[in-house]
Amino acid sequence: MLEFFAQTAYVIPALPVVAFAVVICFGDRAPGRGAGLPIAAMTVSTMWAFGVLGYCLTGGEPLSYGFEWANVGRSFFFTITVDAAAATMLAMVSIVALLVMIYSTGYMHDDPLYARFFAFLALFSSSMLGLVLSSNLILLFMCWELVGLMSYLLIGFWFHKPEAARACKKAFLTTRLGDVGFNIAIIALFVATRSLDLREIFTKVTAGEVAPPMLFLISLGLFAGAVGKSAQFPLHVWLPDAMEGPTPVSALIHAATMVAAGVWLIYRMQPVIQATAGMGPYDAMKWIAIIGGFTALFAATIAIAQDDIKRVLAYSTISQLGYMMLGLGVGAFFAGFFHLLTHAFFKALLFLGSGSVIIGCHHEQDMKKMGGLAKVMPITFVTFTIGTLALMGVGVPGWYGFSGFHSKEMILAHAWLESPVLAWMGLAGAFLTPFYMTRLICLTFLGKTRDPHVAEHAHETPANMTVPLVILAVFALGAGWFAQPFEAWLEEGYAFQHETDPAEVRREPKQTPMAAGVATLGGGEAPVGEGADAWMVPVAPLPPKVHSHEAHHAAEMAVGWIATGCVLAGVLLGLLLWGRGPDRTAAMVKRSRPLGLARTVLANKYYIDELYLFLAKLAIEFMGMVARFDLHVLDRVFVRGWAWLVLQIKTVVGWFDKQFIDRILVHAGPFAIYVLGGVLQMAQTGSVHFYALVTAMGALVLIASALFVEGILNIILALVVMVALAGVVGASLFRRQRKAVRP
Amino acid sequence: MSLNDIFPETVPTGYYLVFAALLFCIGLFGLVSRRNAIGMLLSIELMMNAVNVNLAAFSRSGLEVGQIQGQLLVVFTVTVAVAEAAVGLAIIVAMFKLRKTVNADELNLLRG
Repeated sequence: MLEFFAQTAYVIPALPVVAFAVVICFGDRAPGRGAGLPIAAMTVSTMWAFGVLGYCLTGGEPLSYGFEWANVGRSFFFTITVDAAAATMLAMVSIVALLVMIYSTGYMHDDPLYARFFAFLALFSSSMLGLVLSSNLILLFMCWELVGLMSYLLIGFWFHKPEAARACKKAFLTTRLGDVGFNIAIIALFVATRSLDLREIFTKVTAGEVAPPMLFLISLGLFAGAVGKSAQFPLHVWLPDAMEGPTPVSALIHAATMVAAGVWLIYRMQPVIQATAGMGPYDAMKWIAIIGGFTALFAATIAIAQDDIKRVLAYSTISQLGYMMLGLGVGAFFAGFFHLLTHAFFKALLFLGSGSVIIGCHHEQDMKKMGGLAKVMPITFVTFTIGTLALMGVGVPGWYGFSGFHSKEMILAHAWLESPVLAWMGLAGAFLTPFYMTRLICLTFLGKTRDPHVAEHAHETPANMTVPLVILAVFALGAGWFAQPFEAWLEEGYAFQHETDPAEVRREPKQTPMAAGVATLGGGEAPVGEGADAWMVPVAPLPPKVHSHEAHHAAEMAVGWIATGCVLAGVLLGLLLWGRGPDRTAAMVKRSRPLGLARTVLANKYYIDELYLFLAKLAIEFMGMVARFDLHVLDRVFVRGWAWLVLQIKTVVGWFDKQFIDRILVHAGPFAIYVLGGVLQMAQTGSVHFYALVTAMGALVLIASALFVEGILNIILALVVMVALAGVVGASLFRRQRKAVRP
Repeated sequence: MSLNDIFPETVPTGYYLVFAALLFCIGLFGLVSRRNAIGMLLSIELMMNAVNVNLAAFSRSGLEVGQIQGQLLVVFTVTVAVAEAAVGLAIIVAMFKLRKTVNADELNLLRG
């Protein structure tokens, strides 16, 4: 029974697509003002996804199937793979999407484009579901781009707001920058392995058939794609601006769909990334870990100084994504993936909670104007606090923790074993996260109301908005408990088991024909990983590093306690500074120069947007310089110089032309043409329809005459008939029109 | 499940050709009868796609399996059609700005 769901897993992304198509066509006339079908489709998809999850949980074998998409000498397939990780993601994405949709019936209630919003949400979720299922880089890339497109449309959903229009363009272009890297990686993968199927790629990579520099390029390309989609450091700028979209979209982007895609890609391409580990200068893992750790810390610092409630959450998402990348980079693939799941639930909760706050305060997003909302919005407050505790990673090592605690602790423990510097970056982030989240809670929910206008109308939101909050809060409370069995189960249900045990592969270079040729050219043994030949010489990847269980446990406990200390310190400091409202702290910042300076820098996000703008302007400036050089130097010297030369030649040739050619040869022709032109002028009616008719008739005559006359003759015949036809019809038309003009 | 399971029988090529011919004629009729320049452009697209159907059909009934020149040509034609539509619409917009009409009957500047 459960097998049926797994064998028809393609239904999960297909249903929302159908809903999208119907709702886009019928708009508000579709059931439930357009919301009915997407929600129904998503409900069935969610149940289906849970069926697939059940199949994998009951020990079902991973399944792969697909069909041939194109045959260009070699076949390209659309294949999907159902395994434990994919099933988990399916369940997570579909349920978050469903809850967001239900929530949206409340949030978007008065929007004139209600139906379109739900159609977009459906396609957005479905493309993410497809991305999770696909085990083939073509299909994966298509879904990847579809996710990007839908986020563009949804971020710019209120396109009449100039900020929203700008934000969606920014998101699209920034992620596209990363996608260039992804594209390069796909092409390089195809060149290196002659395949785009994940299973084949992984088999070849783990068997050591790809040279380390090539793998390095591929891994960095994949990571570049992930950096764009998952908003890592140099390309993080789009995510905070994406807050211009409706809040449910923010929740979906931050939790289940858009930013999860990058982490999922790296997780899915694990064997390829893993193969670069320990390859000296070609170690891509190191870069992933460094970028991830840096982003985790960097984004957390910016979050401190933001006043918009959604922007604080946006930077916290970037920071948490940094943790995931850090985990993936230090080899803790499971931990990174688990953090993606737990984060999805509590971040969806936080965003929907903030949406509830925003609706409750009549679309006010500035935290400075809120305060004291805990009393009027009790459900939102309690669920939001649970989400916050999960995000902070509150817990006692070895006993209990909110969901975020377990995953973050695992990542940090791995990072600790790998490099203490990375672990301290993460721990510093673990201190800053509670710090800014405490500030958010204090400013929004606690204390006294500051803006009477906002407070006056503040109210709890209706049930269709609070119920999703409660459901998500349950996940945020409990998901962390399942870490251990979940890890074992994921490993067991992994679809791409290595055909060859990496530990058994020889560490010597394989003598492929290409490598052998290079070796003989070089006059000796091919050097491994050095010089220009390194691109050609494949080296078997190292087996993944395995730390002893004891070392790992010790690290987990140590890091867990340090992290708990950091969280406590962060919360206490936050309470100290903002527990009694923002005024005293604001005054303190105003008094002290360094603090004021720090706040200005942080509030302006380290001026990175300005830097990018400056760089773009510089590039345009440079192009302007090139253009001026072209205009003033190249044009003057070459173009005009050449023109001058030609003028001189012209004088000579012109004389010859006038005296001989014109008189004898030229003047005879025009006369004949003048006469003919007089006739043909009749056909020149200027009416496009007439021309089209004549062309069609001519084609008809051509075909008809082909039945009777062979060869070139029929073309001539057709031309003659056509000209005659044109002449006759045209002449009559022409005359009629003339008459009409001059009665 | 593969595509062939869903569509087990191959549709005879003749069907495609008749369909394409009908489509072409509809397009032609539209081209000759529509007075609106945008409508005419749409009709041209219709005719072009009729040709595409032919190409794809012939490619499908080709002698060798995996012969996809026809299909590739379709992709190429579609790309060209997009460019053509862009240029055509731009011309129409420019024309509208200039003459305040897109009625092809009134646009007979080229009359001899």
